[in-house]
Amino acid sequence: MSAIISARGIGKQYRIGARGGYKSLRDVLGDFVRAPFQRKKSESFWALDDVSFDVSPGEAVGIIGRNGAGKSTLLKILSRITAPTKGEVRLGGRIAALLEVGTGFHPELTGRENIHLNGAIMGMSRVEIRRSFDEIVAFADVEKFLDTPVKRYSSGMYVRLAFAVAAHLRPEILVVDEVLAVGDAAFQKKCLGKMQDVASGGRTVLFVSHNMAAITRLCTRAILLRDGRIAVDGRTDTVVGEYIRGNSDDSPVAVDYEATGRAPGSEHARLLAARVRSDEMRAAVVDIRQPIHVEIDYEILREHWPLHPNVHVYNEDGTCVFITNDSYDPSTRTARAPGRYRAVVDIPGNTLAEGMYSLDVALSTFEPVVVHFFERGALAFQVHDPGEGDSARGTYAGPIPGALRPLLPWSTVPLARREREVVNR
Amino acid sequence: MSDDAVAAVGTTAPRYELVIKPHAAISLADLADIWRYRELLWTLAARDVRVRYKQAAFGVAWALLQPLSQMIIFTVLFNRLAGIRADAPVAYPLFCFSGIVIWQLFSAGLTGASNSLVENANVISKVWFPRVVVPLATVLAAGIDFVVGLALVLIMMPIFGAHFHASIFFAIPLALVAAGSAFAVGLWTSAINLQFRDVRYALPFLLQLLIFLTPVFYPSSLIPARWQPLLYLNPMAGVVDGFRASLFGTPMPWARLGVSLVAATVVGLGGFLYFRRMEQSFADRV
Repeated sequence: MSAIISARGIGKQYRIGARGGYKSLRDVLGDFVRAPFQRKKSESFWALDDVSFDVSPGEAVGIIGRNGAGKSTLLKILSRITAPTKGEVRLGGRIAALLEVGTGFHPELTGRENIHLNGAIMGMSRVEIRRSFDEIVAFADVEKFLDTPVKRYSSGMYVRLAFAVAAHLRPEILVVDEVLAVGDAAFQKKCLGKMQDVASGGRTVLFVSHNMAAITRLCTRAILLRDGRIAVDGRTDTVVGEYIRGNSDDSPVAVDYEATGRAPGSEHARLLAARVRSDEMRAAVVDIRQPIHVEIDYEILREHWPLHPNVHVYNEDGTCVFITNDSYDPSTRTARAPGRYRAVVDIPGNTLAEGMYSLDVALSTFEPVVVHFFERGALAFQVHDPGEGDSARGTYAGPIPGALRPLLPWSTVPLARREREVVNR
Repeated sequence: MSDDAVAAVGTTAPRYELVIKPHAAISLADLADIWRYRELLWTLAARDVRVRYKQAAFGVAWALLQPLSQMIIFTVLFNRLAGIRADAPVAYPLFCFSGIVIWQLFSAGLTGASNSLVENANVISKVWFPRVVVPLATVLAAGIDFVVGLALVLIMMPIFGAHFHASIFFAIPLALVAAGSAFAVGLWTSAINLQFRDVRYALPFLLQLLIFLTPVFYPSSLIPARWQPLLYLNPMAGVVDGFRASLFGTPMPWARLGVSLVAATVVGLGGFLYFRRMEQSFADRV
C-alpha cells in the first residue's frame, strides 16, 4: 500500500539565546555595535532531527513524547505552519490541522459569525460551511445562543462550538493536537468518538496527546519522539509502555523557560519557570507523606485581566486526577500589576497514590476564557511510599489500586451492650 | 515503503498533492492557493469591519464621523483662516473631503496591513493558509469604509455646487491604485513588523508627515512652479489629484499617475517576493 504521508529526513533548527520572538531595531543596532567586541551567543538546536516515516491511508497514528521532544514541531511542519530546515514531506491529500480549538474565534462575534470565520480559516468553502452548519450547531448544542457573542459563552459552550466546526472538516488527513484535554468528560467522549469515526471512515488521523488512555483507544500505531528523533515506532501498546518506562528515569521537576529562551505566553503574561518541591525529594521521587509544592513563576506584561494560575494533575493512566486554580479566593479576581510573580499550590501529603504524575501548568483568564500559557506535561514526578507504617498504606505491603491515597481519620470505640446512643452516632 | 515507491506514483497510489520542503520556490501553485482562499479574504475583511463597529452606539457612522470632523477642522483652519482655496470649481469643504476620503483609504489600509500579521499572530501560529490573505483583507476592510465615504462625496457634490462628469468612473480605478499602493507597501511593513516592532510606532508618524506632503487639504497648484517636479516623488500626490480630477472633471495628471502606478507595481512585486520569502518563518517569529 502506498503512503499518504511520507516524511524523509525532516529536521527543524531553532535558534536559542535570542530572548523573545522578535527584536526591536535597537537590539539589532546594539548587536551590531557590540559585535566586534563580543562573540555572538546565538546557539541553535535541532527541535526535530532526521525524522522519517510513512503513514498509510486510513491509519490512526499517535505521536507521543515529553514536552520538547518535537511533537508540536512535527505537527507544525506537517500542517505547513512552519517550514522544515531540511528534508521533505509528501502529502497525498488535503490536510487539516487542529492545533488549538477555536483558532481565530473572535470574542465580539456571535456563534454564527464565528462558525463561518473559523470554518473559512480552517479552509472550508462557504458552501461546505453552509452544508454542515446545522450539524455543527447540533453537535455543539448551542442552538439558543447562535446570535450571542461568544465572549458571553461559558467555557464549555465555547469549546464545544470550536470542536464542532473542526470535526466537520472533511480532509483526507486530520492532525489533532491534544484538543481533547478540554471540555467535560461527556464531551471528551463525544470528541473521541468523532475522531474514531474519521479514522474508521478511511481517513488518516495523526493524534498528539499526553493522554495515554486516549492514544491507546484511538490509535493502532504510535511514534515516540525523544529529543527530536524517533525513539520507537510501532504498535501502540509497545510504544506507550516504552514511553511510561522512559519517563520515570528523567522526570523534570524544574523547568526554567526563561533560561532556555522559550517563555511560552500571551501578550498578557508569560511563563518563566515551573518546579515541584517537596521535603526529602530525591531525584524526582516524592515521599507520599510529604506535601508537594508546585511553583509557577510568571511575568505579567499587561495589567488587564485577572490571571489564575492552574495546575492539572495526571496519573500514568492519563487520567486527570484533579485540576486546581486559585479563583476561589476573591482577592485573585482583580488584575495584578505588571511584574514577576510566583504562584505556589500545596498538595497536602498523603493525597496522591503511588505512581508517576505529569503536571500541566497553565495561566488562564476565566471571563472571558483566555489561556495565556498551557504547558502540558511540563513537570513530572513519582510518588513513593517508603512503607514505614505511618502512611495510608499502614502496615499493608501489597499493591493498592485507586487514584488517591488519603490518610483519613479512623476511630474505633468499644460498643457497650444496650447503649443505643453509641450505635446511632 | 521504499524511496522508489515514492517516485513511482502510479494510478493506484495517491497523487502527492503537496511537497513540503525547506525554502519552497515561488510557483504558480501559490497563486492557485490564494485563489482557493478567496472566501477567507472576504470573511476576514467582514470580520474586521464587524468587530470595529460592534458595541459602538454609532456603528458604521464612525466611518464618516472621522473624515467629516477632519474636514470641518481643515476648512476652518486652512480655508477660513489661512485662505487656501480649492483649484477645482467646487467649494473647499467638498474639495478637502474628497482628498481625505482617498487619503484615508491609503493610510487606513496601510496601517491595518502593517499590523495585520502581528494582530493575527494567534491564527498564524496555528493554521496554515496563504498569509498574503491577512494584509489583503485589512486593505479590503479599509475599502469598505472608503465606499461609505465615496457615497457621501457623491451626496455632497450637488450640495456644494459640483457637476457630475463622465470622468467620475475613473474614481474607481484610482481608488484601486490607492488601495493597491497601501497593499504594496503593506506587504513590506507587515513582514518587517513581525521582526521589528518599530514599524508600529514609526508608521503613524510617517503617515502624519506624508499627509502634509500630499495635496489633501491644499491643491497641488499652490506649490510654486519650480517646486512642482517634487510632486513626482510622492506617488500618493498623483493619486489624490487624479481622484479629484475624476470627480470634478479637471485635467487628469496623467504623467504623475503613471509614476504612481509604476511605483506601486514595483514596490508591490518586490513586496510580494519579500513576503513570500519571509512567509515560511512567520510562525517562528510571532
